[in-house]
Amino acid sequence: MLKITDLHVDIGNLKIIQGISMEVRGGEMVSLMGANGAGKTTLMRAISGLGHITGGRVTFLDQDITHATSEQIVEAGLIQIPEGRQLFPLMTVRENLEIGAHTKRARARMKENLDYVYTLFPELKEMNAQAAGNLSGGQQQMVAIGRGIMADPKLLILDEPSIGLSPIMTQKVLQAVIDIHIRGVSVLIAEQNIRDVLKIAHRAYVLEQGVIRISGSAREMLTNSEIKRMYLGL
Amino acid sequence: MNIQALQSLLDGILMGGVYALAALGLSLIFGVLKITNFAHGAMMTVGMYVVYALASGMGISPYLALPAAMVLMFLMGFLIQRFPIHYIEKAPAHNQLLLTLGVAYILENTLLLVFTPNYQTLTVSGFDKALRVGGLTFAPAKLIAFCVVIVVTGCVYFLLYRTHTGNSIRASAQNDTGARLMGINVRNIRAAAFGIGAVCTGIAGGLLTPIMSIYPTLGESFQLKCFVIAVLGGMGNLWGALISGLIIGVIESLSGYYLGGSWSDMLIYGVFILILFVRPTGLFGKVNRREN
Ligand SMILES: Nc1ncnc2c1ncn2[C@@H]1O[C@H](COP(=O)(O)OP(=O)(O)O)[C@@H](O)[C@H]1O
Ligand SMILES: [Mg+2]
Repeated sequence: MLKITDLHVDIGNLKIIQGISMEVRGGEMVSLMGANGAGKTTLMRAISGLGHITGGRVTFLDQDITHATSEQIVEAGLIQIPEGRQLFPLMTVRENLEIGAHTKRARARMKENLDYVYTLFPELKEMNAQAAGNLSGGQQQMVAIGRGIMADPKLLILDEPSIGLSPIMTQKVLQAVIDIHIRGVSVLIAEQNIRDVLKIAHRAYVLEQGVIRISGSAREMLTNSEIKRMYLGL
Repeated sequence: MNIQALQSLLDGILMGGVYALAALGLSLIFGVLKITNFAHGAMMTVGMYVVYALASGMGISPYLALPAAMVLMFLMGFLIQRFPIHYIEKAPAHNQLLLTLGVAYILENTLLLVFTPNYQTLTVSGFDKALRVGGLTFAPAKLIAFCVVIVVTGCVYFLLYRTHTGNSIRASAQNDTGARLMGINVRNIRAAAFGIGAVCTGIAGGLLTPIMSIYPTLGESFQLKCFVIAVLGGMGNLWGALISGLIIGVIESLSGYYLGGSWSDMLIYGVFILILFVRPTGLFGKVNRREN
């Protein structure tokens, strides 16, 4: 579904991503692991058309999107729920959700997707008229996920969706991700709670200083001694 | 308050409405692009001349020329953003100032070339007769201008707050990354916002054409006025710009009545400086809130 070959991404004149190859197959949930500053966000932004790609190739559903614009990528069904949520703080919850359905494809399925968002997070219905900027972190993350759903993803990229959230809220967010995945959306997720995410993911990649250090099935990862030592604190 | 004072209050409100519309455009452009458009006054003059040329050239009413002027102003604003301004969006503020000032000079000098520096006056038949109600005089051009301002402002609000395009404009202003990741073409949205700002100021200009004699550099004084109004209202705050526009119109008119016309600018800028001392973000500006 998503195939990345020898990708290089710069920020300014710093080479941040230095030759990454990876893929997400249809129906998969893939975890992208790595310490802070490893390059997860830079990679994910580049996939979504917000990075300076200096080499390599990205294809999505057999279409070359290496140098596509973010609009074209979203239209193709590759949606990202970014780090830090990036909501529209002065707009209401409802408006934030509606903006999610920006593309023609998403607008056609707006009602269905909105119903699904409210099923997933019934509490959003009561917050409809509130400005997104006034919500708590957990509530904002629900809006961010809701907005992503509204964009009608085929592949959903989530960049640290539970960062800064309470354990209860974190579980809620991960449950939502599982639910979205079960509905047939492929998922690429960067998540701090390695243990939890490895239990639900099929495969994982470990990013270190802009290159893939380790990759394999999630089950292998859970028993890999290096992963255990570095990420699971065992 | 005697009847003359009431009359000048009324005139102030009517003219204030026109200022408010122009300043609304400036504030909108700032809100979306974070750029202070120093070509705003010149764009207003372009609006004046477009209406003048259409009305005098084709012999139609200046108000019938407004829709065509709107389309032209939108295209002009869209293109000005899309080409020169787009390339300095991330540049330091002084570069943005220089570039928009450069655009202003290009517009003004084009007008000079085409229309000469002479004053031009558009006479509209029937406008010599003023409407009188209980001692108050309503100049038809000012009255119509105010009504058009209300309609255009209403349309701009509807566009910004009730349509998907408007939501996209506001979303792009509030979070660029978020907007891009939802598939919004932020480049075009910014250009459209600039185009709408140009329409606001161009229409304000066009409405002044039947009211005053026009010349190519007339917009310069309005540039400063728009800036004062937009800052008073809180840059980017559209309601603030509207209310401040009315306030400035009234101050201008009342000070002219009580103190004489030469005082009005001094009073406007004096009040402006005083208010900024007390509230640096303007009357209706939010206290500096960090945006990410
Ligand atoms: N705007 C930037 N300017 C310079 N360096 C940056 C910028 N953003 C990120 N980096 C650097 O790129 C590297 C990868 O960052 P990032 O992709 O955010 O990592 P992660 O998401 O894995 O924490 C880090 O070393 C970081 O310091
Ligand atoms: Mg990150």
